[in-house]
Amino acid sequence: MTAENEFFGSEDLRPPTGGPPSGPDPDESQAVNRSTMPRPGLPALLRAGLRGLRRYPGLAATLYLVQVALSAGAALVAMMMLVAAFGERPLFDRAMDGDLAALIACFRGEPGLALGLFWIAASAVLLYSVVSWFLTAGLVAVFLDVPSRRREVARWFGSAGASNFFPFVRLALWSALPCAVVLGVAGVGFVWVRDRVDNALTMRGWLEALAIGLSPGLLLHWIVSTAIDYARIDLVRHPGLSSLRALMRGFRLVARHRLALVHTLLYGVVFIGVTALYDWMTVGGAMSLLGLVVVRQISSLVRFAAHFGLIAGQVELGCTTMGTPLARRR
Amino acid sequence: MSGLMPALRFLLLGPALALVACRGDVRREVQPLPRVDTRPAFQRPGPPPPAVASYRIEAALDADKHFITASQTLTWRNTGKSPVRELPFHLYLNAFKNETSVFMRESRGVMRGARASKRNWGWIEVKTIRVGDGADVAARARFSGPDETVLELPLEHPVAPGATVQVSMTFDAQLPEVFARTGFKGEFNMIGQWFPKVGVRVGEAGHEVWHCEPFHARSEFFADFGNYDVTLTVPDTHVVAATGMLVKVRDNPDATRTLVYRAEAVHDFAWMADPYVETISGAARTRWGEVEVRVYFRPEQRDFAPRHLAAGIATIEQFSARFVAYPWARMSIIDPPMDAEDGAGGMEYPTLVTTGGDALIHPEGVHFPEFVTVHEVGHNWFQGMLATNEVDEAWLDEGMNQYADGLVMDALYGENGTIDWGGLWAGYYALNAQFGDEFRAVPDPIARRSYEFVDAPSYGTATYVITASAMRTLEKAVGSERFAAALRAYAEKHAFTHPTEADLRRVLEHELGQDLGWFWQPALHQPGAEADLRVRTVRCRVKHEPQGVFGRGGQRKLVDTEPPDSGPQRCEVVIENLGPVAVPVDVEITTADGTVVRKRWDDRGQGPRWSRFELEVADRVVQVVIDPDGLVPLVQGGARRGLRVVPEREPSARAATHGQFWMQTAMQVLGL
Repeated sequence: MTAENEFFGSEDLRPPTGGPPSGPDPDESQAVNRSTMPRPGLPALLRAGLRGLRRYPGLAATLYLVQVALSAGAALVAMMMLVAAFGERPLFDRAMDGDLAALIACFRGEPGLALGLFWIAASAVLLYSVVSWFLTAGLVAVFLDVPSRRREVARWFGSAGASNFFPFVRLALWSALPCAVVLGVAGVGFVWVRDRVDNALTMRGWLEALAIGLSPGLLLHWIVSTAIDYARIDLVRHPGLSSLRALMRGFRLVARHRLALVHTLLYGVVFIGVTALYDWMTVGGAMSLLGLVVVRQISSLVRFAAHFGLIAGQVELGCTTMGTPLARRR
Repeated sequence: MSGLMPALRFLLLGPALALVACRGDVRREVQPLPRVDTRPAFQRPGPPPPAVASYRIEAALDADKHFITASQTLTWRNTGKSPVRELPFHLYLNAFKNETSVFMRESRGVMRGARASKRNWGWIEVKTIRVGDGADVAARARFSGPDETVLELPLEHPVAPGATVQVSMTFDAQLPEVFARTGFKGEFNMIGQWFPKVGVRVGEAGHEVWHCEPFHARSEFFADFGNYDVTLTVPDTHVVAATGMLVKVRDNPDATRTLVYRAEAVHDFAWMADPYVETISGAARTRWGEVEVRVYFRPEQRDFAPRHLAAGIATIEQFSARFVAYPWARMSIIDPPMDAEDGAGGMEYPTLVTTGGDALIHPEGVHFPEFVTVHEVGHNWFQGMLATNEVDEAWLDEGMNQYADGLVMDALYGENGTIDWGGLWAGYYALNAQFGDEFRAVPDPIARRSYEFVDAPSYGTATYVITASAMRTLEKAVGSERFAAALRAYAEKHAFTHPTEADLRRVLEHELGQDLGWFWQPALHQPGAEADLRVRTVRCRVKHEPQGVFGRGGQRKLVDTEPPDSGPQRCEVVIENLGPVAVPVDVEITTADGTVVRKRWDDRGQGPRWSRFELEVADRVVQVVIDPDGLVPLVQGGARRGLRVVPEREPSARAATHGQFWMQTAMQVLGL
């Protein structure tokens, strides 16, 4: 029996507290069977992503709403600040219609406003990043054990999110090391091509210069972020596993299975493509406010769904390729 | 490690790509022999302006060392009424000799985004000096002033009024790595302020004194008109652009080429030598004939060259029509290589300018590169012909030119077309007013010696931005056509002289038929010149019969009729000016039923610093906007110059939802 085969069907799947409701799980047999399946290819990972979305649309919507709520809250505060500053100022109408001089004049007259808006946005993003540790742990747990009933999903999600929050924090702290290396390499690369970036006169030349300078850093980032993703899955699968060890195992998986990298690359392409499409559709500001909100939320939702599917696929790959930690072998 | 190894191999791809990208296929080639110009350098008919300081220069460039070996003969005429006993010469390149020069101390080695090289200093050394046919008197020459940028030569025999003196010199010049308008970068050589240049006699007739200041960081140049015959010897691999017209050229056996240029009625001579530049040209038409406009650029900047060419041609035609016609036959526009742009770009010389602004963020529609060309070519009027003292009265050339540039930009791209890209738009004067510091935060008046400003931001904002805004404001106050006619009269009267602020004011007041004191003193001689206009209050109440007790004795009558809730309104709008400059301005008042009423406040500083408008309208006032058309750029106060009675949330909501999308984008990158 291989290490992979040893893993599935073990109680390690369960979060240490608040586990799933007792009783037969109609998908349990499927979860167990995944261990004996052949190593999946990219289509299988994509199918797993779609399956996750199809199986848990409510969960996906709920998680997305968390993001929307946080960002909308911050946007509401920002809007109130803008209304307080400019609600009585017709010049701001011109600014929002595209009058650059009016825009500069408005913000020059309100020193500190732009910085205040930035910190509100940054705080919201930071808060969501922390909340994401909880959400991701819960989501991974749901994909691992595939509960079917809504209440089971909620319990499974909540208990896994809570029990894995601090391991994820520790993982984030350990990840600071490879992330620092990524930043260092990216920084060195950027400094190397800075003159070419500054002096580029065409978008192609600019992108070429950036690609040359940042490709080592981006490549490292790609590897590191993929390894961290799999380390998170490993932490949820193996309660008690040290975060450092999970990170090392994540790197090991990435080193052994290039499919993991291809999979995250595909997600990156979708993310960038949707963002670029949004930018292309909305340039010029001809849409109504409602139309803009709809287009923005559709774009964000598609990207979120892609991330949701990515995690489902990563769980699929992790389950079929990552062994049980040696300390747990008997 | 089967998956990681290809990734690590890819890791090496970046450096490999960089090496491929950086591999130079550049190879110097012998340039074809340039065509000699057959047209006169100065094509305006009639006698040329009198020459005061004319130079004959022979210079050879060692392109590898960026070193110039030269000799020159100055022919200088005393046009004053007092004898001259010494001749001071600017040695501008010595500003870059070491850190003790006035220039380096004032600039701290940083100027317009460029930083002085600590390895490649520049200097000039006069080796011999002969007056007429006399002996070498270089030993008698002394540096005057705090550094080595002014060399004073005592004369054995004073130059009498109306007399002429010839001074011959030999000198060596080492170009610095490009900084503050001159120097080299790689194989590009921009050679300006490079030869010993005599000062200018200024002051009342009979009491003239020399004006020959040390080279300050925040000042430019001041020189007399004359003719230049300049022989340049350079490698035959280099393209040369220079002030004036090419009148002779020959190849030498030692792989060098000698080019002879002649320029007439100019006050400076600059040139460029580079082995890689390309050229495109076009023609501008003026009343004196065609002007050939050439743009010199490196191949990677090819896309920007037509934009500079079109802007250069338009500027010559527009300025010629508005002021006086361009009298020379050539305009050379040099677009420096990207890595030399901060140091060499954006500088004016007679018939030759350097431009800039080439950048990825300046695509078609963002007319900043064109603006740089318009500005520098425009200097051929405001300083090239109207040769004001750039050291003592920088606003007369920089600021007046900045104002006039807007006329060209508006004519070329429309009043809101200086930026028209990606849904954003901006007009020239409105955008200009947003550059630099806030006007009220500028502690220096416009009219101040350039080196006496507290710092570069104060100098830049007052000299360029506020001056242009002030002139635009004055134009709108007196009428655009009348102001244009007055400026034309100023240009016609003072072309090829050294006009001063007093000359400009005298002509404007004469042509406009009014005393401009209400504007001139606060706008040009007080710090923080602006009209800080704001809406102070807006009050309305329904028109109704007066309530209270009326009459006496038995006639006493109580009127207590409740006023109606709606109906015709009696409104009062108060605007105030918290700035030092009073400017005529329109006020647009909008009522709830959509009626728009325009009022004008034009007391030119004679009344209080506020104005009250009372009006009876069909519905309550909902909005008041001062200067609704944005025609008066001296009006500051930002958004406060308009007031809406009931706040509007929609624009803020648009901005907030836009921000929300990018917040979500960041969230999805960093989190789930």
